[in-house]
Amino acid sequence: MKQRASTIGAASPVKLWLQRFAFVLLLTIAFMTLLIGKADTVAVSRARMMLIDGLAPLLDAVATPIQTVRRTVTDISDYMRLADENRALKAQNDTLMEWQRVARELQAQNSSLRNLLKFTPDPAASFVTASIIADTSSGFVRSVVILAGAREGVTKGQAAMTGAGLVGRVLEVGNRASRVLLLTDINARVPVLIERTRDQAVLSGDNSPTPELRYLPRDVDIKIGDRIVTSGAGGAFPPGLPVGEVTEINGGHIRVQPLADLARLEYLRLVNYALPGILANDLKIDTSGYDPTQQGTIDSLLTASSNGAASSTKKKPAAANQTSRSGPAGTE
Amino acid sequence: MIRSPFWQRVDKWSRGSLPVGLTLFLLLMGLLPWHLPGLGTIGISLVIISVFYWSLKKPQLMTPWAVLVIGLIGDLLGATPMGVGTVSLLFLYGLVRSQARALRNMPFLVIWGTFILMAALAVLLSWVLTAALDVHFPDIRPALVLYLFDIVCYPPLSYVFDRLQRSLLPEK
Repeated sequence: MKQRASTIGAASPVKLWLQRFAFVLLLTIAFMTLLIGKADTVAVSRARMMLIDGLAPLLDAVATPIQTVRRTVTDISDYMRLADENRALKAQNDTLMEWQRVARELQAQNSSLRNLLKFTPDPAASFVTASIIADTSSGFVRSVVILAGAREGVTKGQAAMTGAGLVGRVLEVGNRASRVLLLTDINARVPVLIERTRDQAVLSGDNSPTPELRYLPRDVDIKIGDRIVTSGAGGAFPPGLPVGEVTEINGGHIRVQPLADLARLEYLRLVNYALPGILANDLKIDTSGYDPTQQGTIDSLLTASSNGAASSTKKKPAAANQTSRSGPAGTE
Repeated sequence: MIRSPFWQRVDKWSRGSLPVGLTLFLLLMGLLPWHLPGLGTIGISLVIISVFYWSLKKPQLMTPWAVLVIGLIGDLLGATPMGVGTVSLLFLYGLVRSQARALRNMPFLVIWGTFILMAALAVLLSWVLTAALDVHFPDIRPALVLYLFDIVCYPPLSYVFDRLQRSLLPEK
């Protein structure tokens, strides 16, 4: 009876009306959060990172044994095909030794040509390696959370990579954790070029495992298997980072399979090329201006955002080990 | 053994917070990098099952306020547009409560069928809201895969919830 009285539709008319009113009120609050989330992205971003920062140790503690179990299973399956893999690796090693020889020759040639041209070299990149503690992907979003934040020197816009290639970029930075937006996310746009033809395009995620190549020239000569690398346009990423391979050409729709296995990410390398590109100020969400170690107001964060990357860089103590530069990549 | 009133209160409170606590636990579990083959991530799939089950079976312990808080935490932890998960979970809660009397003492298959229908509406609502907020239609296939995962997971999870309910939250 007590349970009945607490349900909608089984109480006195007044109580029933109050329950319905409360439910409508809650729905209104929920719809208001929709609007607030759309209108004040800075506050939402900050709230997200504060919650993730707080839960990071817990997520890390739970994620570690899961990773250990998964690695053990992978190890067992690897042992079962050790002989085949050894053969394949030896063959690959021979090929790579040949490539190493070619690379050394080209490096020497490149070095002498740069000396002739008095070329200003790109600054050395700094990087942080971090483990993934949460996969916040859902039906509509593709992102992961890593256990490295402002105190490790992570900054918004850094390229996230594995050994195989580009994975995405840092979207939000907390004190001890950060969120990385994957290449496959519907909001991900990466300026790329086809390595063979040098045609520029934009790799556009749509939440499917294979992002689409858009804005290609009409007469482009593209084939399945063509490698896609970053173009460096807009200063978002440095040019030449490996991204993926063309796997599907269906009319005007060209799909690219990322080189990194985005479904099995464990560790990411966040590389800071110190590019003053478009990502520093896109959408006015500059969480790098937010210092999670200090209590501040939203107004101060907005001020940091409006002041741009230059002012926010001053607030990052860990950024001291990163190379800063005044001009875009390769301007000389 | 007679327990002190303090421990009795603690015991009552911990039992009473089981549905919400369990839902939050499933929310955190869904965020872990499971790397399930063909699925990748679980997200809030299991949360939908938990909210449906407890709203139906123990509405006094899964209040709309609790659903609101769970939805907000889910939206903040997941990277979905803020409010989408909250509105969808509250919508699901409203649907369940509107049919609660009709579903009372119904066989499991009817309840499962109702879940399949209501979860579809909740997933569809979240897709529409995401499309409206992002001003373009996201690919619905990943959401459908998670929806199918929900349908498959409902019977075993519902069994576990039944057992927990009988042992920890007996009817008085």
